[in-house]
Amino acid sequence: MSNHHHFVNIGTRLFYDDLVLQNQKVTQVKWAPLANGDHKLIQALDKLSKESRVQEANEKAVSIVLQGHPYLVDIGLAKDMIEGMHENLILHAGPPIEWNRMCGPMQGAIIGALLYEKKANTIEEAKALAASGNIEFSPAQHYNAVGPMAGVISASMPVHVILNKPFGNKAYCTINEGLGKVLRFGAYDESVLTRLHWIKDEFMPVLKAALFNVPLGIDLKVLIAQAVQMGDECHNRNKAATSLFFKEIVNPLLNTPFKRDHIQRVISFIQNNDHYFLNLSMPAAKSMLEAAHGVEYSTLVTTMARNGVDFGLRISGLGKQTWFTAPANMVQGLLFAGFSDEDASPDLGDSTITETLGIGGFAMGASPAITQFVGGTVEDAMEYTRSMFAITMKENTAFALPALNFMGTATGIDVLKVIKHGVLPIINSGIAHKEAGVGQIGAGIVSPPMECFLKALSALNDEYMEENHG
Amino acid sequence: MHKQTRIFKNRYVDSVSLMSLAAKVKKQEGVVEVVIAMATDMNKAIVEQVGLAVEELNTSTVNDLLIGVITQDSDRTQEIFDHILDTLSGGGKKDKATQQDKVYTSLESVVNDELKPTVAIFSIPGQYVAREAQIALENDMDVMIFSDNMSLEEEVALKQYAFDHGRLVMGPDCGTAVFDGVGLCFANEVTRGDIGIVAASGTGSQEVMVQIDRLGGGITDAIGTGGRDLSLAVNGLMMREGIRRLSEDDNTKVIVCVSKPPALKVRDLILNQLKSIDKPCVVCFLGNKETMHDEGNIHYASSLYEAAHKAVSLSPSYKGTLPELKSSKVSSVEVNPNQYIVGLYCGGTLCYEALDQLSPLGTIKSNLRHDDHVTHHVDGTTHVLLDLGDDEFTNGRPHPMIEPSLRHDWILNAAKLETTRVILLDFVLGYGAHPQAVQESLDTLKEAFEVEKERSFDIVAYVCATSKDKQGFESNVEALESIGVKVAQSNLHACELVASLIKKGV
Repeated sequence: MSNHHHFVNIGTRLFYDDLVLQNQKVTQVKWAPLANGDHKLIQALDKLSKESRVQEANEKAVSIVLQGHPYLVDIGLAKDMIEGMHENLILHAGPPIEWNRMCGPMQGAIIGALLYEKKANTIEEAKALAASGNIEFSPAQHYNAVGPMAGVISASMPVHVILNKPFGNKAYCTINEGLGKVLRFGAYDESVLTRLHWIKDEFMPVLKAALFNVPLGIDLKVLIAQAVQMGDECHNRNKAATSLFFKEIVNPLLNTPFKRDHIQRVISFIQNNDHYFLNLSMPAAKSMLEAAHGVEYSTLVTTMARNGVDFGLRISGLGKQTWFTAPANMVQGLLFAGFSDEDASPDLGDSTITETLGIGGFAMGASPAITQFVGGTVEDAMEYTRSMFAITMKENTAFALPALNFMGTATGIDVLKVIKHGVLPIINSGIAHKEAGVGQIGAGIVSPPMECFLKALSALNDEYMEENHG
Repeated sequence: MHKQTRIFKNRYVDSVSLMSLAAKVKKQEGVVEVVIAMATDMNKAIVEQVGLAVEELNTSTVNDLLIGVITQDSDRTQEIFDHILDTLSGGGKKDKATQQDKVYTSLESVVNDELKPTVAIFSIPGQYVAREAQIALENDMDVMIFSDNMSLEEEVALKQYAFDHGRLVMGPDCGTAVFDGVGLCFANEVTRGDIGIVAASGTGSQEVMVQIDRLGGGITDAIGTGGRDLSLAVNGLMMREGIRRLSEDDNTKVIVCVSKPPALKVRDLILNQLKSIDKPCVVCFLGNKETMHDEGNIHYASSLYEAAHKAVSLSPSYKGTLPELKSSKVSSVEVNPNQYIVGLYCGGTLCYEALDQLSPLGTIKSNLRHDDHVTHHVDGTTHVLLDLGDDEFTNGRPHPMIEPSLRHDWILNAAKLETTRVILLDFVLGYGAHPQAVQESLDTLKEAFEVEKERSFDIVAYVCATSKDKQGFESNVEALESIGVKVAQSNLHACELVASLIKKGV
């Protein structure tokens, strides 16, 4: 027998410790039962993993994501930009949900949207209308749109229009309102409505004209790539990206035929909101991922999103409106002074589309500053970033992280790998107050429930492995 | 009384760690009951039984950690919880002592990193091992499976694959192996030499290697096969692969095979293979009723000590003079009525050997018997030998080799029985075993001596260890002798000792 053993210990640390005591090379595996120990699911997992059609489909799907190249090309009202958008349709974050099950911030945002749209004149009218069944609610993602937190989009809200040029598909997102009392946290008082109207009446025309001055559009992939080299992960930290965007847009804004003080207010609005770029990184990610949706046999995750009650996944190889959901987890992290765990809403918002693309929590290693905000250490952040390679298909070299020796981000979450390795995607997220309108009360780390992935596995098995489709 | 139960989603911890922690917490003052376990159906039932059930249990899975505590005062509960959680998270600090900076959560991720491991050791729940072990085999690893509860079909399939590919599957339920002098799971630190061992029993293998060491010999490898290997179904696949490896290993000059009597067909297969090898072989089929006669290169031994003795005598590198091999069986003696032996063993094979050796003394009840004399109790009406490492006794607690306290109540209860003449104990030390297995039991043994000073009462112990073992050997023997325990030189010697103690007229 050879004298150079390398032991791998799967189970109790006791045996690991005594091999170390004997100066042996030994690797410990922190094992846990796969798929909650469900043998049928484990069999499905192994079958799908070995299936060449699955492997080929995933190659194809993830290469679409990697080749994606989103540009900001326009801004316009949702009803004019989003196909299928209409007066009685309100889009929201996360998987489908009925009015009476919605969380506080989402209900608040919908009340705000109905007041903004002048569909209701009072809060009571808005609530009655929302509950009446005359308003249609749908996940924004069904319309290629995304929104942070409540993610509410109504017909006459302005949306950024992002074009994924290599594939020609578009994605949409509202304009970030800033912090404090804002619609996305469910606030709907006069100040919120006034700001929304200002965005529509004064902000949108200037930005639209400015973008007209940039015929090729603003290259968001390049901005994200630069921003992750400057300490952003483009989910909870968008300082660098917003600054870079500001640099790109300021001249086109100045070159619009609007009055100087009008342009000034638009410039100030962007300048004073460090999260402006979140509402660009999100639809950029959405456009890249949506292009990869609908590849038969692919087990690629194309959406992770939360509505404050449920967490939902969409899978490339399964239907466009098929979600795999489970109750959303609570975000673990740091709360602002004066708030306690009881105040927190469960995980909320479409912003996890950034993690789905491989930035956000997946790029935390690039963003040491964020660790102070969400808790943990810089080493933890590096480890989070590295550990995501276990559950993804490829490294995205377009988003290279200097602190990790220019390693690219882990891209293309594979349902099978998540279950096989028992590693859940890392998300860093803001924490919303559970009551409408209070706003953000902290930030932290959260993961999707494993159940979502197990349901997706089960559906993939039914769809592709049950040999009953002739 | 104050009760609290909490469930931590997706926080898997291996059962050995949890059982050890629970055993420690339970000893703390003011703790009435504690359950620290994964939320398996069995553990859920236990929680229900002790009155710690909560609604959340219904939706919990095997990956959820469940902690339930009953304390006398309510203010202790939080403290106990904090202590448990702190211990589980490694005292709040990252373990800097580990070699690796990367956390692997699956064998496949280790393989994907091209670390090229050569041996995989499994101690995860048995029903999940087959899939993982297959991955290890397909990636050119030898496999050791400490876990039990693997189905026979899975074992046969794995071993057939391994056999066909020249790989080893040691186990399931394999506790001991030595690879190139490296002890895996439960093994002793022994001198390197020229004797190779293949054993279907863990402590049997440990006893042979320890005795070889003490006699002045040394070993190359000790390959384990798991207890079912020599059944008709498994057909000795790994015993045969182990023998093949040792026969091809230039450093191995003598081969020792240890097992309970195999199925006849399998026995012939093994013996024929051994006969075809040009190395001397020592065969010890423990408990074999048939008398076997040495033949060609095959030498038979009827005890573990004899196997070690014969192997050393056959070892070409051994230049010393061996002590005379007196008898290899305890002889029949007339015993005093109503004076019984109570054997409380950690080592299954050591217990089995004692059962075989002491059979001339009359009826001995044991949990290892499969006839009318099976028992799981000590009631003071016959000799009893118990293997306390058996599932029925551990029941949610760690094996007594890992957690010696499991045996303490048994010792005290046996001492209190008037008919107990002698308590027979083993201490199996070495890798895997409790770092202070003997010290942990000293107070209990002292207490046992205190119970009844009037009558004749002895404690005989065998310490299966070498002086190179991490717990030491001599110091442990001294500690035991200093409180009046009679320490034997081998398990066979321990049997001889107890037999002489209960001899009529003594």
